[in-house]
Amino acid sequence: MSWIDIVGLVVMLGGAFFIVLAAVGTMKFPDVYCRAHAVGKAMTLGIMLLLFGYGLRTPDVSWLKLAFIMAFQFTTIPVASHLFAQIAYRKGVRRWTPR
Amino acid sequence: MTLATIALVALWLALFTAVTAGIWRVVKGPTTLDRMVGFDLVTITVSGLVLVFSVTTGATDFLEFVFILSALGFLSTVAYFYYLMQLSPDDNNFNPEEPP
Repeated sequence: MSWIDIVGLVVMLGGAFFIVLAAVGTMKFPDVYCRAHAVGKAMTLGIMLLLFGYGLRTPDVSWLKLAFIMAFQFTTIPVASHLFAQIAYRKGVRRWTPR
Repeated sequence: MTLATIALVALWLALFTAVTAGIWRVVKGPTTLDRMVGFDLVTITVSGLVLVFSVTTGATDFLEFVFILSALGFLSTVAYFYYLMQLSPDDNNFNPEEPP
């Protein structure tokens, strides 16, 4: 087990940490806007770190495919989060205010 | 039980916890949009689980599957968004108010 395998595993653990943060935000936040924000930010960073750690960990990986998947996720996850906020705003979901 | 095995078990447990949280949000969510957010979380986390699976078994030909899973999740989100945009404002299928 060389050092690059260890670096890959540590990066993948960081990605799983950020995905768990996104899940906790989805569970605990009080509003659609807050939940879409949690998914759109923490989830993007988490899946990026998971893909990068997978590329470090696997010796004969195709970095072109990996870069393509990274670009796709980096484009689509914020777009989906934006769609959630936009449809909630257009349908008149009220913003959460602390009472 | 080496350190790498412990790290892989921690990865599996973390991602399954995230999937469980997403399914809990899908079941419980007060409005339809909360269910959409939970479903998006579940699809992206499952594509991460495929990566962890291919690290665990050492197989290297699951990258296309990851791409297809993420594309399916995003396209279902866009399709549902388009459906909700086509509803008229006084439609009964969408209730923006959260029940108390």
